[in-house]
Amino acid sequence: MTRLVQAEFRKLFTTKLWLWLLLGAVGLVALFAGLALGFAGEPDNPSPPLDTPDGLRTLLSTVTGGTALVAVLGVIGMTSEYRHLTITPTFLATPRRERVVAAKLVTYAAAGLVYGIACALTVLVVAVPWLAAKDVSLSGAGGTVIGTLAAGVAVLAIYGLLGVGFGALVRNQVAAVVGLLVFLFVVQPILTAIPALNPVGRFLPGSAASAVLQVRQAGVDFLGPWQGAIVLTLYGLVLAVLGVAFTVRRDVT
Amino acid sequence: MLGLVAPTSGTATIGGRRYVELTHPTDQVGAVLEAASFHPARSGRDHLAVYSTVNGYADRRAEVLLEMVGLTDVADRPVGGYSQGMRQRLALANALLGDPQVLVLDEPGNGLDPEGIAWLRHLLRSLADDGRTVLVSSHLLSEVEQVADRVVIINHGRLVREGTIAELSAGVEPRVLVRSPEAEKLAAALAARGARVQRSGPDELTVSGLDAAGVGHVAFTEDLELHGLAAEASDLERVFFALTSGDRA
Repeated sequence: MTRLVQAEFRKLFTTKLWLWLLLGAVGLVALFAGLALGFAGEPDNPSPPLDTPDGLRTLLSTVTGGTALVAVLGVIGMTSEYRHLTITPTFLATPRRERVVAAKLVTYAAAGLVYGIACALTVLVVAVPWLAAKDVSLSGAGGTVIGTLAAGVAVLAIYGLLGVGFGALVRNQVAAVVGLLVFLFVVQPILTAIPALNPVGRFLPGSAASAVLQVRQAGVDFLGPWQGAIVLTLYGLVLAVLGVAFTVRRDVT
Repeated sequence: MLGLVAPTSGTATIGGRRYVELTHPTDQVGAVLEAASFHPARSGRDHLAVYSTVNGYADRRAEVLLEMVGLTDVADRPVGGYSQGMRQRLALANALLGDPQVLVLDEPGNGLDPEGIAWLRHLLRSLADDGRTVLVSSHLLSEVEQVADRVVIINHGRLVREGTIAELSAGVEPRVLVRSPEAEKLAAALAARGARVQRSGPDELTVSGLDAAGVGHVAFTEDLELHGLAAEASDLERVFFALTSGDRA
């Protein structure tokens, strides 16, 4: 299994995709953190003020601005094998196909972790000097800062897992990437925006991620942080198991 | 056979075990199924590195193989820029990573230039001479005829014949193609010697029941001019058509 994971890392790092998506994720995080800071304190901004723990948490939660890109990385990691037919030599080397999926889950969770650390550093680089300039003191808020950023890193790692699971189920690369983005940016926001659907909406990946970050939002009842992390992980694992059961075992020609 | 496609019925074993049951399958079986199995942005060297890593082969092995298939100079270029022939060579190198005793190659000559095909023929021959089993599937019968020790003919999914080329051609009479401006007279003379003669062109005959020397002798004794005399080539193709023509209706 160690070799399989090593091989997956070699696959990941021998093309440039990881670098572009990492730059994209870091760029998005810098942008979101900048927007959060720039509009903080504006009269019609509903976010809590930056000098409260909730406000700080909302600012720091921009660490997850690149979740969609980490999920896309996982989806492509799985589906590109089918797209470029490298699935044939991959399954020839490892005929027990579920082991390939397991190795990818580990690899892309680890990649998500690394993306998460890069994004957390980005938030700090943008936020610390800017907060100092706004005379917002971070003294005494160390626990909130580290806790929120660590939660963000965990969320990104789990999104890597989710991407692989989704890619295992939907092996057509274009369908998987488009489906994922449509879900994350169209379906999920609509479902979460309808208050009547809150009992269901709190179990959606985006709300589960917010729960992990302990973000507060008026009128929304999130899960607890650990519940959120478990729900999010289950999404990835259940998708992967369904993928192995229904898609991965299909004939490869 | 390699566990990629679920069979309708039956099992295939390699050394007595099914492919999916092999612990390190690529140590025992190397396969080239289609020459398109590459990520276009990954270099040839990296492609081999990925599959070396899975089974813990030394990177040195990949270098030896790149050298052997003649790709060392382009090994760091993305496979997307490779020609079909280069991809075939890379796929072959990948199959040989584990130094397997059994090779399964599907149309390995596709996309190779004449020089490449000659190279491939030598390589397969030397691999087989080392005591390895090399299984080649191909539609190019004349190519198969030049390399194969044993032939299995499968038509519409059914086994038609299996044996050495000599055994298979034993069932089909050898024929001689002869060209002469006096085809009419030659045909009569040959028929008189008991040969079966078919008119295959205005001045061309296809003769069975006599070999090329026999036909030449008849022409000589009858004092008839000959423009061409040859034993019909590509036996395997004729064997194939002779064996499968019944199923085509």
